[in-house]
Amino acid sequence: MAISRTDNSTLGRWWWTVDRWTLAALLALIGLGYLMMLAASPAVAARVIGEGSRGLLLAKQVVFLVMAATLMVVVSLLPPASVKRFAQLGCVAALVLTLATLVIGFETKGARRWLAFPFLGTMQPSEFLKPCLAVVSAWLLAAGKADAAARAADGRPRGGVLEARVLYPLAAFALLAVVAVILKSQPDFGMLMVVVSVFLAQLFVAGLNLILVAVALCAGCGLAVGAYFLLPHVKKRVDLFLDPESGDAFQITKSLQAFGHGGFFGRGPGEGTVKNQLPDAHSDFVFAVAGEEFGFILCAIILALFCFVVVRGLLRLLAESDLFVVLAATGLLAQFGLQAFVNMASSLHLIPTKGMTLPFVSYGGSSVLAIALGMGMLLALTRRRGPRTEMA
Amino acid sequence: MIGHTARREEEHRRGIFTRRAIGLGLGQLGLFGYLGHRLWSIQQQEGEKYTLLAEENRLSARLMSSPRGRVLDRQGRVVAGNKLNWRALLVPEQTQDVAATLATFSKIVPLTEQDIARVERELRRRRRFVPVVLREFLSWEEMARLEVNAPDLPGILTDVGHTRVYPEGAEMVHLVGYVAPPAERDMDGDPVLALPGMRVGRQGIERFHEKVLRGRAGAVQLEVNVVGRVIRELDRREPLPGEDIQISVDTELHKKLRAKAKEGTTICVLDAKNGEIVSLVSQPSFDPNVFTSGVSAAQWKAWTATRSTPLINKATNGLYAPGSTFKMMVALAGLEAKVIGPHDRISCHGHLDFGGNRFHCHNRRGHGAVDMRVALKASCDVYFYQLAMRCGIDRIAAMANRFGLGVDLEIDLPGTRRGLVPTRAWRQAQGKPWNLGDNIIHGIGQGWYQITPIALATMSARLATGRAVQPHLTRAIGGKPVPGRRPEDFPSLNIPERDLQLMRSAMYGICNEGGGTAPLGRLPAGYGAMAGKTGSVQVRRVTRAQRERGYSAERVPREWRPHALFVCFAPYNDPQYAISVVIEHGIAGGKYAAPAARDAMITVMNHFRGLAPAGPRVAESRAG
Repeated sequence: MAISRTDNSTLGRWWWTVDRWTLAALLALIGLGYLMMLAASPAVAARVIGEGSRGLLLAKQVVFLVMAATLMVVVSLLPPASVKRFAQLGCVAALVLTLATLVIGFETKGARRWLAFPFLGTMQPSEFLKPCLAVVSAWLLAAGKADAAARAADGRPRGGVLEARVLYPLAAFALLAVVAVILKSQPDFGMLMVVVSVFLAQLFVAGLNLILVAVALCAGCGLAVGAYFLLPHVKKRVDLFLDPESGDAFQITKSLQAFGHGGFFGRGPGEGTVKNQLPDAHSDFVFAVAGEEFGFILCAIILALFCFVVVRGLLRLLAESDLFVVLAATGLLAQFGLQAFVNMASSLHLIPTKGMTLPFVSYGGSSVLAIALGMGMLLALTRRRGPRTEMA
Repeated sequence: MIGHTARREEEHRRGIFTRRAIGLGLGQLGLFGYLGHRLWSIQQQEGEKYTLLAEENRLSARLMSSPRGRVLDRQGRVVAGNKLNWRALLVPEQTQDVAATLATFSKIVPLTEQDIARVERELRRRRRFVPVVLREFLSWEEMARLEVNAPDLPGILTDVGHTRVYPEGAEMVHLVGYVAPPAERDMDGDPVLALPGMRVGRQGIERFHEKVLRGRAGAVQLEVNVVGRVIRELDRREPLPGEDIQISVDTELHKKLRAKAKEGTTICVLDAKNGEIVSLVSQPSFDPNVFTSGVSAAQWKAWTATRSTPLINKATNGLYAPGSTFKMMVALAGLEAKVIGPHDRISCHGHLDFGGNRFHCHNRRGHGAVDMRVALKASCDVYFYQLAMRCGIDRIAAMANRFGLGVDLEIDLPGTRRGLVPTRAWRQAQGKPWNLGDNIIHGIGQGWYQITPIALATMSARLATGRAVQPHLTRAIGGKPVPGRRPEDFPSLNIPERDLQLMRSAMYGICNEGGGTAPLGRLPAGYGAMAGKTGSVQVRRVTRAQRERGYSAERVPREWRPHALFVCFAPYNDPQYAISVVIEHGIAGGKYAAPAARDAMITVMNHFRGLAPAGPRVAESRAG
């Protein structure tokens, strides 16, 4: 792309300020998403929806991937203030829609997470809630800190509960609590876990007292143990993970076979065979398909891309002084990295299986678009800004 | 002052951000590193283990049965072959409406109630892409009608398999055997036996050469998906057809011999020089083709309940006392033991009294003083009573064994009975002593003997040649002649030629001289001379009362009549064929068995007169 450094158009400024390495990594992941759809769709089409519809399946996902790339770029054009506004609106809308799933959502596999729209198909609003919530929490936490800092700078006395430095963070907690209740009602514990973890990561970076961090971690562990004992399906999954012989471990067995079958170089495109027997090969277990057909090499590349995006994003924050940007970016990156980790670790039998998509690579419209939205906001927030924006 | 504090706080705060962001980044890095390590260990270090698991799961080997080898007769005629079996199959998933397709089908090719019930049962049990057999053995016309109406018959396939067919039916079954679905005991580790429609040999050549006839199954390696549907063929090994077996029997000759044999008759014709079984008639018989479509209960009952035992090949499995046909064994044992010379005479007064029992000669008036040749010729029982007492049973048994009686002849007809020639040790194993008096009755081939007709024919051939000729049926396997079957391949019996010649001479006298017991065994001019020995075996003791009233075997009920036996070879000057005839309840060997044997000999000679002496060996002519 030939864009002059002095190009002052929106696009020109965008090109010279956006984190082009991260953008390239994300676009590469979108491309891999297309590749993996090619690999996984025949098996899925043959097994689940009938052979003739493979084309339709592919076409849908291609449309989603193109939309995702576009959405990501468009969102990344926004200045940080607009990102904040966008996320606030998005958060409200997504919250309402997520709430709506409890009423008008349709049930699949025992959970109400989906809304059906005429002509548009189905969507999972909580996917969109995830990035927006991260940004909104960041804003609330940062605003609270900023108020405290301003008071300190002005020498105003501390005290009183109705001050912004207390109210804003409280609002963040309250919002999280509301979301948590909704997600628990759906139920969608995977999503709940991500949302809470992201919030904790934000608190951690915001400078939360380490003792409180430890308390929060313990509380998290306590919740996990509680879930094991209180929720039968969680218990089942964990038991199956600890002792695969105890139940139907077909999916994870097939997944490991797929990886083993692929070996270092993989079987080659279209030569995978275990994938034909692997349930959810196109969504939660797409990583195993990559492992079988393209081997360790592609898996390592995918792993490296995710790692690159997360680590580079965090490193870039070191030079950032705007707390909102730091927290929002931290939240988005934590969410992105966590989701990728949970997916890959599930298919490698490192953690109990948890239905979570591999960002951009797994099949699914809502998931891809929501991730694109989040990454678009990340790109927008991490654009290099002139001194003008600093401490504005 | 205040500003300074704020800046320091600001710096402190940024320090915390920095440290914690780095911490978070390192944490993520660690997690992803862990993932990478896990990937490496699964895909590289344990890859082989998981690959094996994966291969097993996706591959499915399907066996293809090979066409069974044929059985050919001496002239290369097929006696066990394969018939194409056209079948109509239904693939349920290829039709919208199974019921409608079946209805249309049955208008074209009728289906019986049982067919429909079976099809419905299989449809419920099988997956929708597995073909179900609707009808087998379709005629050409039915096939044509199905093909023409194919557009109206969605899901109907036709294919062709093989079914065993025996063109000669009951004529050859005792030699060729038949095939049946494998039973548990047939499982010899060959996985092909598990295929539906697979058959294994039962009895005869079909059983003996099972492995050769079966060939080697082919295999297709298929990639299958999770429900077992075939995705593609990965590897194919074509089946190796079973090899043809040629037997030494000439079907045409065999049929001629059978046509003359009455129920309960067994005729064994051996090539005296090389042991080939020329014919083996066991009447009655049964049609093996019935087994292809299943045997009805009534048919089975008819076969098994009758006294004439059609299912059993009496030539190899019928056990009889040899009677007077055994006398040569006693004579040779006596000569070898030097307990008697050829010209030593023994007086016969019509009976021998021993231990309070009277043992009769068949000639009530007695034969007077007879030497060995005359004793054999006239079948003097008293001579042999005496000789057996001098000889002892063990010497007699040893001689009989050398002539193939009571030993395993290793005939290529499975289930052939070994029979029994009693010895002292045998009797003692039963916990009883062998009494001197037991020798008497065993001297004339009565008593505990159990001898098969084929063993008698073998004895005859060995008498004729002086060699340990082995009877056998297989001439060639897969076009290659079976080696070791030339006359000179059989070892000598090591019996002095003088002694053997005395036996042959006596047997010649039986058929051709006055005073012989089988004048009906004389061959017409131009066929050479026949040498033979008669035997009549009581199956029931003749009581003194019967004797005094004037016993005649002709007048007692059939199952009480004696068996009639005859062993012979011809031509006398250059023995070519050895024959044994056993007629169950045939009354008298000389009167009934001898003429049957003579007729058989004439038939055999006539048959081969037009042809090359021993018939062409298919393989030899091919190789030459």
